[in-house]
Amino acid sequence: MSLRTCYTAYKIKRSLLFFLWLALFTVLSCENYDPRIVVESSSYHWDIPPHIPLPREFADNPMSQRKVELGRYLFYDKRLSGNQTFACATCHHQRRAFADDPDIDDGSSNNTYLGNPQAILVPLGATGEAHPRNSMALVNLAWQPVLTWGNPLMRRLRTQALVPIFGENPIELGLFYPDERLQELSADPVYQELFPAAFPYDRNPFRMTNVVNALEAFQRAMISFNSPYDRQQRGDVTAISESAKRGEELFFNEDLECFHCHGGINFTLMEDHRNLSVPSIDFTNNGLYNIGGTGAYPPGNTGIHEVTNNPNDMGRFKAPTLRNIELTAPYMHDGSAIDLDSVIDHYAAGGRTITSGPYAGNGSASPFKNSFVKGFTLTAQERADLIAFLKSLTDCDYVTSEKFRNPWPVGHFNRPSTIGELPEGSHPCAP
Amino acid sequence: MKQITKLLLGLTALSLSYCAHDEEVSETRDITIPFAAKVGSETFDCNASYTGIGAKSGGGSPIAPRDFRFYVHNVELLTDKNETLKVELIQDGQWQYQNVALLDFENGSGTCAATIGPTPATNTVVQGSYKTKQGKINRIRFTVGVPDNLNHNDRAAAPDPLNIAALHWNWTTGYKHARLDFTSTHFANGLDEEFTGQTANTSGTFNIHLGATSCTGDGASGTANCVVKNRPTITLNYTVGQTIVADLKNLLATTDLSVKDKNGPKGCMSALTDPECKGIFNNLGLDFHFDPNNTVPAPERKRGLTSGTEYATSGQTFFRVE
Ligand code: HEC
Ligand code: HEC
Repeated sequence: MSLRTCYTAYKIKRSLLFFLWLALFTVLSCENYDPRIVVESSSYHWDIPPHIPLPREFADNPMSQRKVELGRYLFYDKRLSGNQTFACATCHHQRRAFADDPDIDDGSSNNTYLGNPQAILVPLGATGEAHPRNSMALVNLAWQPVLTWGNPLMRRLRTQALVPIFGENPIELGLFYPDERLQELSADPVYQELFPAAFPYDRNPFRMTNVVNALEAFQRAMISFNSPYDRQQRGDVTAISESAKRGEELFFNEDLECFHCHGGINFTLMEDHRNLSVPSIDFTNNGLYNIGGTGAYPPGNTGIHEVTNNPNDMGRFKAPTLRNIELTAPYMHDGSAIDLDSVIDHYAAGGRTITSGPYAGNGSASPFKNSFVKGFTLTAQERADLIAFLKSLTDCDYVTSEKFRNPWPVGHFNRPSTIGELPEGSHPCAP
Repeated sequence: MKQITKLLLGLTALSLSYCAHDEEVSETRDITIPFAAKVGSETFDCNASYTGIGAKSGGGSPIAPRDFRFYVHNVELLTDKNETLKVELIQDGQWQYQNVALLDFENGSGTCAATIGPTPATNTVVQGSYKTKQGKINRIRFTVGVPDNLNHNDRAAAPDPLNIAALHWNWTTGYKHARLDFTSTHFANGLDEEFTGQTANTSGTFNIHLGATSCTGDGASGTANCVVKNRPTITLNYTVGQTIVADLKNLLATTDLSVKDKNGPKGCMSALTDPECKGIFNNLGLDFHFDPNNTVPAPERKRGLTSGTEYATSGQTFFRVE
């Protein structure tokens, strides 16, 4: 029963008895209401530009600054892994817009991955097991109605967090004795303050639900709307180069078709906020594989098809956000496109062709490929322009902001040093 | 108002008379239903190893156990007068919740220490009560797994025994109905190039994880729907006091443990593309539609699995009564 029907039911009151009966009935039948429907704001201040629609609030986990703070400590805490070697941040680095950082030797980088000749980089988990998919950037997740590369069921950050923490295929954090570990966390003076502050009405706040609720809150607060392109949208005409402006036109025209799948406020088909009645969710096949001409993707990495088992879902993945895309190479669900040039090669050809090996096939001829991936030709200048546009989506404030940085004191085991925290060298946001 | 009061009185009277009628023939009895895990005739033991398992010609393969846990729900006793006596489970706050019970035979010792999240505590019984009806109890019926209405709850917040990380597939937001893991030295034959993300199987791991697949919907609000339910309903001839035996040797009787694992994770994790599930599913009485390329149209693939709420089985060999 929807809230609306519940409300109408409330309005009918002919006699007191009837009303009481109905009230009871209403309470009982509203038990399974969808928390998404509740849009009432908590006192939380969303730090976003005025033209961006507000994210939804979840009745079962309203935002609060204190939860965000706790979530930030947890995100960087290696005690969330069984062997205390990995945190969420080990695979999600701020200076890479929270994608994995191949330049940091922290155990998650896997440049010599053998299993899949096409996979250039997928992360390793805390016990050294390779993940079949590429670590994703974490950007503006508060507007994401569905999470990970290809799982239509995965709708909430707090549900998603259980996968790296407890998943065993592959093992990412491998925390298999959560109760004992929570006991340990409850003895840490930092958490003795943060947990009760974040969950003041909870008699025992040291619970796994609260861990994932806090991680959800922190990740919803990770907001990036200050790229040069955003500033240009807000009226600063000099924020992006002429080349990037030409690239913007290419991106949004009917020849390249990029915007069909990478549109909206976050350059992805997936979008949710308070002004939408239903979230927009659409997974697409962009012609990356076509093994043996059947349209097949490599086993174990077949997109939402793995979850639905619907043959037509073969190779359908989330078109991820293109915000900060310059920082998150390698690309695609299996890390099989090393740079933006190879991504453009892929789309220009209308799908990728693999000439030899177990995954050989012509992606552009896949029966499952979305028709907006149809191929095009670009001059060298146009290609440079398109790349300049994609690079104008890099938000240096986001990847350097103190607010999202490791909060533990330097020297703590969760932060032995500050190496790799800030952009350096050839990083576009390096000072 | 008057009329409603009348109606209410009427209803109350009706329900009272119904209860009274019930009481005449029925009495509530407690029951403890013992379960046992075995490998052939031998009792499952984390400190033992077993030989002659599986279909390898010349006498099968050796195995060492790792895990033996499964859920059952909707336990019912049937009488020779075809009455169904529902067993109401004791809500013990540990092993039983609503109509679901967890049976746990691994105690974390020996080779079971290597499973995911081993626990010293074990549970080998289902405990509850039933109301007697006409006839003598001659059969038992139960369904393996966690039922649909609890399968997509919020696992992190769920009560015992539905909050065990090792018995949950977070990515389908559903439970592992059964987890039966072991290793075999015959099975240690190297790299499976066909599955992205798998390294050499030097440990000889063979994991059987039974769970619902082919899911759509919203996993966070508990409305996900998995059409291939993989919850076999088991009916056995039974007299009160007998033990229900789950036999790993029988489960593996048609699986050659010395052939290289194909397609997907080591062992059988319920995917329709996983060839190791073929024999195992049949021995659970489940109709397995092996579909290596996932090209079979959905209705045919789901044959037998979607009619009714669960799939009722006859040809299973995993469970027996002793
Ligand atoms: C071993 C590396 C690794 C660790 C550790 C890890 N992740 Fe990830 N993360 C990934 C990979 C790989 C994906 C893509 C997963 C997929 O598609 O199946 C991902 C995806 C995500 C996504 C989805 C983003 C989107 O846009 O849909 C979120 C959110 C996320 N991770 C949060 C976390 C949190 C929170 C933690 C800690 C509890 C964590 N991750 C730990 C590798 C990791
Ligand atoms: C039919 C929908 C569709 C169209 C059109 C499309 N994309 Fe994509 N894009 C996707 C999907 C789906 C993925 C992820 C595919 C995968 O990993 O298998 C993706 C991935 C990407 C990635 C990698 C993202 C990452 O984080 O790894 C980039 C970059 C990209 N697209 C850019 C473009 C550009 C530029 C265009 C226009 C030339 C374009 N896309 C057109 C659907 C589309």
